[in-house]
Amino acid sequence: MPRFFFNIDSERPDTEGVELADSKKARGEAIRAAGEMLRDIDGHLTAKDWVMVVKDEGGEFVLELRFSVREAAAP
Amino acid sequence: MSPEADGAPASKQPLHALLARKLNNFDVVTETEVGVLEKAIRGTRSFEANQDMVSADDRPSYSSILVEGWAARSKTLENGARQITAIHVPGDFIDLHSFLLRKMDHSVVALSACRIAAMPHDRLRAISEEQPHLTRLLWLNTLVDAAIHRNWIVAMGRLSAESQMAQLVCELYVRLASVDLARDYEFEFPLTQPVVADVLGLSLVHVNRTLREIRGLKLISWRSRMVKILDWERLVEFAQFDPTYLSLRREPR
Repeated sequence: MPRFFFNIDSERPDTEGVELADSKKARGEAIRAAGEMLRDIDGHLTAKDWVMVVKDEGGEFVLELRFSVREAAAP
Repeated sequence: MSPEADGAPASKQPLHALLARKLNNFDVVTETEVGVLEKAIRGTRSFEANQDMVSADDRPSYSSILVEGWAARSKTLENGARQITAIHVPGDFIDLHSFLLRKMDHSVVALSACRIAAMPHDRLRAISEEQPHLTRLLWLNTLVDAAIHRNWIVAMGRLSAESQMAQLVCELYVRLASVDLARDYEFEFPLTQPVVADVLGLSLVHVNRTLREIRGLKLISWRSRMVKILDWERLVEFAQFDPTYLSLRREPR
């Protein structure tokens, strides 16, 4: 099975990767994992975007997920 | 099928020894009671990894004591997604509840090569009629199973993935050590990452990342099926692990 790497900005790089059937499965896993990780952040998200980049074994770009926050200025 | 494939130290003990050892953690098990357990066992069965040991909708005529290997209670959904709701290690009664529930509402699957000792339900009925203290210990055994479920629900619902995984490692170590199957903060862990994902209810990608985090914090190491706890005190604190729910205190029951 091909191996995919899931890198999150501001975290140690994923050097291990995960074996998944294809890029469609990698896409589903990435979205699900992102939801779980955002849940664990538990409100502590800074103004900076939360970004996950998925690459394949050859280092080719597969997918990017970006979650950004925009809020009213503090009164 | 090779019963010795798992290589658990349990293989050299009599079939009832680990269960007696486990119940003895709750309260003193008398020699008579140990003898009753021994005589209630009728034969063994072996299973290969990934084989169903008891299937949902089955109506077993006996309950199984796990003697070697690791097993899981699980439910599989229509879309193929699986949730593991309990992990069983040697000494556990993997389906004592089938004695009274009759029809299984979930499956028990072998996570590694397993061997069980079968205790026919008519023997369990006789124990419940003739051995009130032993019956209470078996009752407590199922209560502790339920307490473990409760703890898993809390961890799944409210803990971060890192703490949830750390808690699983703490729990398994304490359970294995309580029946002398682990010591020195090290134990054989025959699960793959996809199985751990089914235990924690998390995606494989998140489990993989969580493991990297915990290793990075120097809390545990995990290689070639061995988990080593590098700093027990810190792991316990990180996991918010409190072993009270395992009832490992010998007192009159």
